[in-house]
Amino acid sequence: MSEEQVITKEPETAGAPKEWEPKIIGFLCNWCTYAGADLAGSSRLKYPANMRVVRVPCSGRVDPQFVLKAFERGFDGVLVSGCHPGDCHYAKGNYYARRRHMLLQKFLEHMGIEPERFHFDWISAAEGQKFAEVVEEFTGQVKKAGPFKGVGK
Amino acid sequence: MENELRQKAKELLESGQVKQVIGYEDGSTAFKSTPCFASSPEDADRLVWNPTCVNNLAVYLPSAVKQGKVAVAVKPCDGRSVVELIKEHQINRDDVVTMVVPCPGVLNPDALADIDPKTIKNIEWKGDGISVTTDSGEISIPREKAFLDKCLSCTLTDPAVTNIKLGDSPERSPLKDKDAAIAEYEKMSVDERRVFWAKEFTKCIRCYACRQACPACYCKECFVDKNGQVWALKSTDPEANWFFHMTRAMHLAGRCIGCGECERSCPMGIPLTLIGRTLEKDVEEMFGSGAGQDPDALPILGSFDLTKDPDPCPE
Amino acid sequence: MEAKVIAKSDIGAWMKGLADKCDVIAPVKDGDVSAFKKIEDFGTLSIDLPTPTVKGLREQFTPETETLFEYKLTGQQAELTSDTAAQKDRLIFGVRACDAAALKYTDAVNANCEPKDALYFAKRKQTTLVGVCCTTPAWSCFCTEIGDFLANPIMMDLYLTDIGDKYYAEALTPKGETLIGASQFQAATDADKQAAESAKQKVIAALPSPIDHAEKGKDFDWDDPMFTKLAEKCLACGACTFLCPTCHCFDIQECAQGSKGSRYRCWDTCQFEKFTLMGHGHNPRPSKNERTRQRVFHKFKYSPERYGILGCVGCGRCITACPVNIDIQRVVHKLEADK
Ligand code: SF4
Ligand code: SF4
Ligand code: SF4
Ligand code: SF4
Ligand code: FES
Repeated sequence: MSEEQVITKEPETAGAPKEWEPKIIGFLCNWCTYAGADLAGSSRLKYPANMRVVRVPCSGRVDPQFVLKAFERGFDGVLVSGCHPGDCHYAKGNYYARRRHMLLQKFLEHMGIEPERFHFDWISAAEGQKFAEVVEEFTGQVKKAGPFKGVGK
Repeated sequence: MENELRQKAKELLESGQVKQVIGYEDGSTAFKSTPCFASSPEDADRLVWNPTCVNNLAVYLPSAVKQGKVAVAVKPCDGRSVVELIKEHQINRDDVVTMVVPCPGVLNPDALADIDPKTIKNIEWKGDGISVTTDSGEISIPREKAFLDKCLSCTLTDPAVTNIKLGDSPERSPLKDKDAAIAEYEKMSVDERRVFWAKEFTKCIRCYACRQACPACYCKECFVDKNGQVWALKSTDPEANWFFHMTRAMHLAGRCIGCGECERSCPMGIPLTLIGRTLEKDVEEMFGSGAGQDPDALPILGSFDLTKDPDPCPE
Repeated sequence: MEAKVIAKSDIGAWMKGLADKCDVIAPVKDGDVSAFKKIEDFGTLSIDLPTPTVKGLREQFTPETETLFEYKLTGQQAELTSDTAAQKDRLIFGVRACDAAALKYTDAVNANCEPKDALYFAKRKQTTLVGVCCTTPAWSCFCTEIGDFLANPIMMDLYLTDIGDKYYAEALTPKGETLIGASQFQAATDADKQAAESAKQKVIAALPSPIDHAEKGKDFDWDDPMFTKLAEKCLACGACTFLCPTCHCFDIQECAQGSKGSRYRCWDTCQFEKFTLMGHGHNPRPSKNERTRQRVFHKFKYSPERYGILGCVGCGRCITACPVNIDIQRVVHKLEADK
């Protein structure tokens, strides 16, 4: 998908009634969570289709700027997910990512963005089931938080 | 004290131990001082130390050390910036001589609100607060009104990189809780905070005085100045301003020492220290350490601790 | 031209009447600072006159960010829109004599090229300016050193002088004459005129005496060692120049988002390192040395040479804003003494 598609594409909702659907962006590590998402797909697991996925080489690649940019552009929720402790392809990218994003989540709350709108997780390539569950739960959580009113007013 | 400072500075310059001494000298009015770069023993006579010495001079170190060893007058708070600069390898410990000045607190400009500025002749510490000499006599201003908020809650001792200690450190008996302002701020709901900052950030004109005055903002090229891959727009749209400030804040996470130079420099009156202090508190709570304490420590976001870091999803 | 008086208590009613025809903008307190804002509620008029606004009129005529055009791509088709749709006429109330005088300079700059800056002049044309004579100058003010516009205002339509419970109102242009035709204005007596004159003289007496800076600027020393000193402490921020009412430099930037985007201009300043950085990497003003000199020389030397008018009106904003107390008045005096 081009950047524009990522940003503007309306979520494809399975159901007929057109209610508000949150726009979510997910930064997924190529070596684990992205593969986990694949597995969820090929196992035909059902989960909400609200998330646009950006594949990154490691959760350590996810600069807090990515998350901030998503909120700046009006996304309702952001998910960052990488390999479990000990499993990072680059040994410790996920440890740095963890510090950064746990802090970011807290900081966002202090600056006016509900912690429900941001989630950091570990999902391995084998955890198709977990992937579906996390996405399901996170989407529900963001839905409950409602449309994000934006950072500008 | 001022004499002692000048004397030490002279010695350092005369003996050739340092190339220059960075301190303060009289400014263009009696209620402002200005940074002083003394490179000869005669220059050292211009150095002053009084309540108007608010600037955090550590901001000059990364470029100043390029010309040789530097001595710098630091308040205990500013000394934390020197620690950070060493810790982050921006300056070598051996290239800087810190002269720690005894600091009872520095001037809060609001303290002078009722005095005609043109009549002010001199400002000095006296008793617990300050004494302002004007054309029509002397005015005493008590501590709680005279000093900046950070000073009223200050409990700092000599920084970990003290070389020369001038005078005796004054007794510290904080008048205010360091987190009083944060506690007040946190009474707002999350959504109220969002609205609060949206409103504050709209005021920003992107003069970057906050960034330039900050000793921790030493990047050769700031993310906001990049012209190729544009992440941060130069536009002052509310969203773009939010993005600039949030990213800058994250870049300062665990590194901001709370000197307040950003807020003091901001011509638009944006309460920037609130951001820094909020983050500082989060860092302390989550990772148990703070900025500017140990020059040998690893940067907070450039390290991890497997035994202590919070796990987002405990098995 | 004609002069009348208006009771201070009538200002609200008068402005409310004007608001039917145009936007009324006036300085109001916004947290710690005072800024020009559109007035919506004339009932609780909280116009803040004593404190000078942090920013002058610059943003009123060249907003910090101004869209030049927007584009949208559909396949091979590009659609351009420029939102230069005429805005409502406006009246700016509470303008300081120095800030108005600064418009003479920015007018000269913006007219000094072809095509002339259309966005700027459209806004100029649509704006009526009502000035107020200062009563409590800031410690940093030195307008009287630059010109006599406090006594003889320029570039505004109406000039109000505080004479107790009323303002003495001098119309300076036909627009101003129409303004004082409103029912709230009464004929001025000789005593009113006297009072206004002495009010002005009182402020002027508290300010510095005139200096022929334009003449002295001719001999400024390019190599004055002072600039090395200033450069040492200057932080290279934009506080001084962004608040300066005569500074006018901008950068042109683009914002592309997929198949749509915009081109906009936003404030820029000679104090930023990248201001003069060329595409091929050369920077003709490589250090703060050159950049601190540029600000002073541009205002006090080049401007008189090019436009016959000083590029500083002595508003003092850069002096109060500078985090390291670089004081342009002192700097210029020193340069004049050094030459
Ligand atoms: S962010 Fe502000 S308070 Fe923190 S170190 Fe920088 S200037 Fe000081
Ligand atoms: S100093 Fe203030 S106005 Fe300037 S960029 Fe920083 S926050 Fe914005
Ligand atoms: S140079 Fe300074 S004093 Fe002169 S007009 Fe600009 S801001 Fe005002
Ligand atoms: S405000 Fe002061 S420090 Fe900032 S660029 Fe201007 S002269 Fe330099
Ligand atoms: S490779 Fe997956 S988090 Fe580092």
